[in-house]
Amino acid sequence: MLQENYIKKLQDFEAAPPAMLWSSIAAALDEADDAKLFAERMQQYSAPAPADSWNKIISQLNSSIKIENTAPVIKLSRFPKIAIAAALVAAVSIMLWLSDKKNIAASVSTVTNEEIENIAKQYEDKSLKQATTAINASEANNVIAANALNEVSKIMKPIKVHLPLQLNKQIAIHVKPNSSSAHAGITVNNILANKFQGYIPVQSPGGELTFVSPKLNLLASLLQNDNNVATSTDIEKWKLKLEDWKKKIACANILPATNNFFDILEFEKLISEN
Amino acid sequence: LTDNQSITEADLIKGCLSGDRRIQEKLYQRFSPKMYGICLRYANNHYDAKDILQDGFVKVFRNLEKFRGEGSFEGWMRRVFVNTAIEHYRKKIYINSISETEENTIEDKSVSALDQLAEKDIIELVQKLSPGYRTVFNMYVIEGYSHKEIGDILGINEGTSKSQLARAKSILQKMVITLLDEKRKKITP
Repeated sequence: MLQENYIKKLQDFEAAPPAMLWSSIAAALDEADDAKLFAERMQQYSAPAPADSWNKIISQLNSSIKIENTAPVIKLSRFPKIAIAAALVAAVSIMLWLSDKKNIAASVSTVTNEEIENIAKQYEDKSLKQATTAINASEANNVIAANALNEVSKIMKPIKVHLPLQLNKQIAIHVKPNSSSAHAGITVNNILANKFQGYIPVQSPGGELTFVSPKLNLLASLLQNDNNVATSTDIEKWKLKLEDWKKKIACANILPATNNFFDILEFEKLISEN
Repeated sequence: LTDNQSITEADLIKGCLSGDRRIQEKLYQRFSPKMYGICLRYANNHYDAKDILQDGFVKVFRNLEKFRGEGSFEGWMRRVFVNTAIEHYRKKIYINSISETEENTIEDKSVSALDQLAEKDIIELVQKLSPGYRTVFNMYVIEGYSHKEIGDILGINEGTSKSQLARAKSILQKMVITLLDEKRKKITP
């Protein structure tokens, strides 16, 4: 009982607070309030947004919509990702390999074409000019040309001449050997003739490249009875001439061959002497 | 009431969620001044503030479905903008680590003199603080984050947040005094 009274006394005990304490408490409360007010004041602060901000926000939102529309996200597990990556690597490797192969082929072809060009120039500068001059000179020269053509047609085999890659075509000149007939089948391609400044390139079985005048085109056509090349008047005229030439050639002691074909002036001299 | 104010907040949110650009613009018009105020406090300058405002609104529109209606919409938007600002400066928020002993020596004083300045002047002074000080000051004093929350968001410990705040206040106090002196000199030459 006594103990309970004592406890109650202690609980009810009152003492005068220290002087000036309230001012300290008030100051602390004010400070807290001030801080709160300051925070609220700053939170409420607003400023007009820049004029063009909304347009930029719209454009950003629109661009993101476009990206979402055009680029759907495809979720793949690990295995398909690896498989796709491997396939891509393989495809790129094959493309590179093929590209290398093509480049090598192209470089080889280029060299070959350059060689052909050089040969063409070489022949153009020398005997071929002499030959064409001679063919134009007289009818007798035409006889020589006919003989030469016959001889060439006998020894030539079907060959293919590859055009430079730039033309992107493969054109063949077929010079078929035909021992039984002087009318050898000769096909002359005008595109190829144009490439070599009018001269027709013909390749021997040994690989030697020879250029003859495009004027022999008509002659060659007549020899193989290709009537599409010339008019009916030309055909008749040339047929007569050919018959005449054949008779003369049959009587001649000297026959044209590949080794004397281009020395056409000398050849003409020999025939005249005989 | 203007047309902008006549639309309720709920209608604004609903319209924005449906992708209605007209309603989105109304939401922007209603909240952009306050949000721009936040951006200015966290930014170094007006240019950065503008970027943060733009990024913040784009985030708001893209993440609006995440607002569940718990608490005020403005409060949610404020958090989005504060986070956007922090993200903007995250690389630049360099916080000097100091020892615990040093931390205890720093006295946290209130910057009472700030009350004497207009908000615009205060913002200009706050912008002069380094990104670390400025962020902690804004988060603690104005946004009301605890030091623990600041520590979690910025990836620093509670004590560091306290010391950053104390330093920020100290620097601000000096700047305020200097500014007030200049103003007095202008009035009484």
